[in-house]
Amino acid sequence: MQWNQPGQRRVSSGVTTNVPVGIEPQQPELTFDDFYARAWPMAFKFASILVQDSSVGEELAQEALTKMYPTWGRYERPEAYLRTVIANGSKNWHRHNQVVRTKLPLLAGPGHHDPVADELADAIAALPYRQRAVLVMRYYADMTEAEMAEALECRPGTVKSLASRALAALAKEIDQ
Amino acid sequence: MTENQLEDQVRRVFERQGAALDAASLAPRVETPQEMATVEHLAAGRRPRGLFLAAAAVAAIAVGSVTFLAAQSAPQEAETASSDVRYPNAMTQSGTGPVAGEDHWHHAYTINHCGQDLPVTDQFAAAGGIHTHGGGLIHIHPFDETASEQNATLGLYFESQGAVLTDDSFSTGPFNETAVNMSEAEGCDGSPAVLQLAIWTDPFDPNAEPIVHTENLASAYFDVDNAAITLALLPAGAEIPKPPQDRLGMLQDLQAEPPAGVLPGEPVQIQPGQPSADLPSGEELEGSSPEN
Repeated sequence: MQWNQPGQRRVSSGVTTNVPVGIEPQQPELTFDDFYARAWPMAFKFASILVQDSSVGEELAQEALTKMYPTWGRYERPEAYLRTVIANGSKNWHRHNQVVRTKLPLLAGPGHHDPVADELADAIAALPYRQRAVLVMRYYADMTEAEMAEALECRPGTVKSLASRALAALAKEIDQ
Repeated sequence: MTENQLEDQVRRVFERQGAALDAASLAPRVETPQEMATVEHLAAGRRPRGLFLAAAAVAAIAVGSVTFLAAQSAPQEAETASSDVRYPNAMTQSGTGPVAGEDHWHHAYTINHCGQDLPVTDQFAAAGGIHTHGGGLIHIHPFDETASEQNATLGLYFESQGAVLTDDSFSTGPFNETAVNMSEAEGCDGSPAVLQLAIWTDPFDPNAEPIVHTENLASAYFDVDNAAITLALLPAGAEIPKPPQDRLGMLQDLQAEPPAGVLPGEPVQIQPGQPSADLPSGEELEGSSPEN
């Protein structure tokens, strides 16, 4: 796909749109191209950290943005919706791949090395998907409990429980 | 560690991973048919490295077969080997290697080219669970049978990075910041040299002697936790250096766990320089932290 007409998108219905977005009142119009460019780093990193794989994360982020394109203009909070779509995509990807894959480590940055953080990263990667997803959503994406519940298709109470179990598992791993 | 501290650590891990991903996320990418094909492979769970691992398995079988045939043709040597060696390709002859989903071992390592330590890769390489976060530590953390037990080989670790290890040569992979080919054919400054793999099972003992291998290096599999290894091209008889002290320090940090019988989180006091009765035999905590 290529968004080569900044400011305008021809959607599947054939209508050309300049779309208002309610997320930033001071910016009355936001084109899909601008949103794409702005949201891409967050989408890519959020997806990659959720699935612990940058190649798959990149594809999930692209897929989520592609899904939003035909209905662009309907979102009050497009970034929140994007996160939900990515979380759903990640969940589906995990469901299909959990048999063949337990974890794939992410790329680490050069330079500073912290063995304890490395161990924690491994422990996070080894968590069941929903437990890891809650941690990523809470501590990386700063999502609200309601957003997390929606993204994970569960009740807010379940989100709390998943977070609690995830932290307990990490604490156990670190103590060991 | 309190819950708040743990939460901060979790945040830091994600920030670190996010920072590592930043460079790759600078520009939205347009997928090509070739990339889509790769993604379809991923989505179907048919990772390309499967071919790689299959090739490694075939190579391992081939090496094993050659070894077996060689043993058949040299009965005297084979007899000696069978009585002394229970695990022919195990690095320290200790066992059958790490168990998938259970063991998470660590080795400090270095690659020494004619007396010079090469920079180690920072790349977080995935090979069925054997990986590195950089810094000269290998994490042997198999999550499936492709990298567990006798498949947890040094060759597999290097292969995942695109490096190539044979019995007489080693070439660094594309993730290493310095491209180096070292080989016995080239030697060291014109002198004959031998490619060797040295393993210290007690890396913190300054007097410990390493176990040294010169054959089947790629198929040597990890069979202990908390070891130090050096892959070195050096003149025969030259002393093989251990990995640098900062890497041993990281290994020691990871090794620091409560002795048996102590509840997690309970403070443990061990006098510096004193062997602890609670630690496994032969292990002592050093009196001072390793230099960085």
